[in-house]
Amino acid sequence: MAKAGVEFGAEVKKKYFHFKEAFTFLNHASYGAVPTHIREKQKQLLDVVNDNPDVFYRQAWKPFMSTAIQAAAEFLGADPNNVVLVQNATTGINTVLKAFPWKKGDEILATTHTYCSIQNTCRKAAQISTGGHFHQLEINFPIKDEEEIVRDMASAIDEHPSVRIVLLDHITSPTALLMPLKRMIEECRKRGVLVLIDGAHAPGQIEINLEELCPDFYVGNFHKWVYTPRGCAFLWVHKDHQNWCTPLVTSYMYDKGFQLEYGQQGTRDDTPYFLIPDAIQFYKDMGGRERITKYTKELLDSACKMIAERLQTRLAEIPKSMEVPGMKIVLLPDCTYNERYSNTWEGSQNLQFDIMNKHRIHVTVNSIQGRLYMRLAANIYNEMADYEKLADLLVKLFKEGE
Amino acid sequence: SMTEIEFGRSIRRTCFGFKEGYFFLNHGSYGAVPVPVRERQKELLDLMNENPDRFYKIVEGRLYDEARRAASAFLGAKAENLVFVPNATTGVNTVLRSLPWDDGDEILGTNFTFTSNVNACRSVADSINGKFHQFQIRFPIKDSSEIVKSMTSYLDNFQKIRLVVLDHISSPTTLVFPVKEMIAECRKRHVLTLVDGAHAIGQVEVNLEDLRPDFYTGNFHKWLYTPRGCAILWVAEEQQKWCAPLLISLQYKKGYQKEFKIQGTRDNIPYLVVPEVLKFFEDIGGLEKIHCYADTLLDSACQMLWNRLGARPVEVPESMKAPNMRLIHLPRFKGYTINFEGARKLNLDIMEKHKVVCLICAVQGQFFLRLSANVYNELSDFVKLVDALSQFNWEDSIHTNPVSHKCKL
Repeated sequence: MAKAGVEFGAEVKKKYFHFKEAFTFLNHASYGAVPTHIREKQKQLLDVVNDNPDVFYRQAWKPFMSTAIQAAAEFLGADPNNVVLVQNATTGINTVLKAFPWKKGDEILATTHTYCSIQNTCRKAAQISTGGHFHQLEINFPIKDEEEIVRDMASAIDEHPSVRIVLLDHITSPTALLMPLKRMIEECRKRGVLVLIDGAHAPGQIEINLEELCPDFYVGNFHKWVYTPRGCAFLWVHKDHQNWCTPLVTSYMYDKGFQLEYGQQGTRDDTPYFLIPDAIQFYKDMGGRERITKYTKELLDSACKMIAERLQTRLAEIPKSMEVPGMKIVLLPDCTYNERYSNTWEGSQNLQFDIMNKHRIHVTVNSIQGRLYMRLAANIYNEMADYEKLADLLVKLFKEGE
Repeated sequence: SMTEIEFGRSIRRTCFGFKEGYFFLNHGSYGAVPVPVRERQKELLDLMNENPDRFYKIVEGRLYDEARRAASAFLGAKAENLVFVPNATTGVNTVLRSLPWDDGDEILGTNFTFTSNVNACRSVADSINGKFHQFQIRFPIKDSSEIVKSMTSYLDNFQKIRLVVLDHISSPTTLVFPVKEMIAECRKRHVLTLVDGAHAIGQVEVNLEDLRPDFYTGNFHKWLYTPRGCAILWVAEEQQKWCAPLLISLQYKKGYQKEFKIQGTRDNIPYLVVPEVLKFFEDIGGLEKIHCYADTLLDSACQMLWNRLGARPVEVPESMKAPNMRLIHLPRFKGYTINFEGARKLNLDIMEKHKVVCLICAVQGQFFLRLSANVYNELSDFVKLVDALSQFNWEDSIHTNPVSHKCKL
């Protein structure tokens, strides 16, 4: 491990990243971050494409693509034949839900924590079969035991026998919950429903072994927690479904097979995909999942505890098994001074926006069960001082009525 | 300044950064990205990476709208009718997949419709228990009215045709279609028109509000020098209420413009550099100047091809000739089967052995050379091409067997 000696925090930030001065980045979960050497490599690759486009598009891209898929598959414990690359998790989900042969009455089951874009996708996909309605399993805080969720999901499927696809997050976006997927998939299998996993936040945060987990479909981003440029994600499709799970764009390789069809989606820029091997190498050089997540979890745990104490609130009540190493949510106080930060969706957006624009700190705020929660993220370039800055600001905003 | 740089070797060296020792005669396939545009793309990548939150939440949206307005102005389009898509294939798929078809509806294309579009049409037609028709176009074409007539007779015979997919300039056959007339004939018959302008933007004048199809899609990354992954989709106002993107995301049901603008986290920078690209295009002289230069080169190239190989351009009316491309009927080559695979192998062999980048295609059992010319080309590039082609084994040459060389298809 060549770079294992480098200290996480300010040192890594300076050495490997190049962020805008005077901003504080506590929102890695939204857009990820691209180390400077990978940014350089991307620019170089663009020059390679542009200096000789025909050589690239006719020949060179193939080995780039297969190397990227190999590296991705290995990282995910997957058979490379089952993995194709897409631009983002939203594309992967859209692909599956649109390719599925819906019949009138067929239903989708997702949850109340499903990412908003994906909820929209469900609505659209359900247009033909139910006029746009889909079921959402209610998951409310406090969560005492993950088995509650498994039981509730199983009951929901039993109550709605026309459910064909269950859409589950591996790690929920607004609420940073690690879902008990293995058990949930088991219960789905017993009932003969297909399972589509939105693992947007999973690669890089938790261990994934797709052939072992064996859902029907799995979608995940590399540009969130695995340091690639944006527009880099994957779709894993079980062999049994590859003949009908066709891409959103029908192009040159129509009917030529799973890998070939997804490989050609019209002329576009696939360079983010080609940086997967370098990004994974960087991830490994930084110590891999063990070292990285140990750092981020310890940092986040301390930081969130500190913020909750200073605000006199608390964290979400969830079992330890459902915590994730890079993301955590903290309950915010009611804002009695300022209508602008009411416990609504508008309030959450206003708060998030103001914190960014007026105070140069990046976070995500959501309205959950009638209260505002702040979602904090941690990565190897963060340190405690970042969160203290935030805490100072929040105390001003909520406790001192700035 | 850009306006003073000479076309040919000079602009190639100063503006295009192409690999030395290669000769690029296939602009039509992948376009080219000049250095000032590459620099702007890299600048925006840096901006995105040093403050991703601010970029995605504020900056990108503003730059997207600026780019859209610039693209619209260039295309004589109302900005509210225009959105960006990654490529024309996506544009075509978008329309085909969101059109509220009735069971049994049919689609019309031609035998020259681009393969990806044929595939998309077939796939959709299958899903609605309909048919995809292709009316036949044969060389030589004496007059563009022939094409219009073929289309209208098909429409009159097959009343279930709901949508016609028209090429503005076909690929790889480089024909400029009489789209205005064809659109008018479709309107008369209440048939929708989807125009694939992949090759048109930057080669011919395009005025969308004037042209008034129902849908128009075209690439900026072919003849307009943007990075790849930049195209537009224009949708007539009355069709916008149901024309949804392939990807449903944050702004579902928030309206045409909003729905297409946010497509998950991705790299939209190819769209965002459009203002810079249009400035470059203008600075180097614009459509007319480029065409003038390309035309002269292509004339000389064709003369060379005739003298040395007995190869002749396909007969088409003047109005149907593409400004910066020519389609040349080649004699038979020994050792290459006249099909897609044979052509692919031939192109690769020429590229690897001679470092000449060109496009030979198989159309209706014959080999054709699709020549492209652009501002970075000069005559010596075409000499290299003819040198390369001369090396191949000709089965019969026009000099020994003129009769066999009538362009029959």
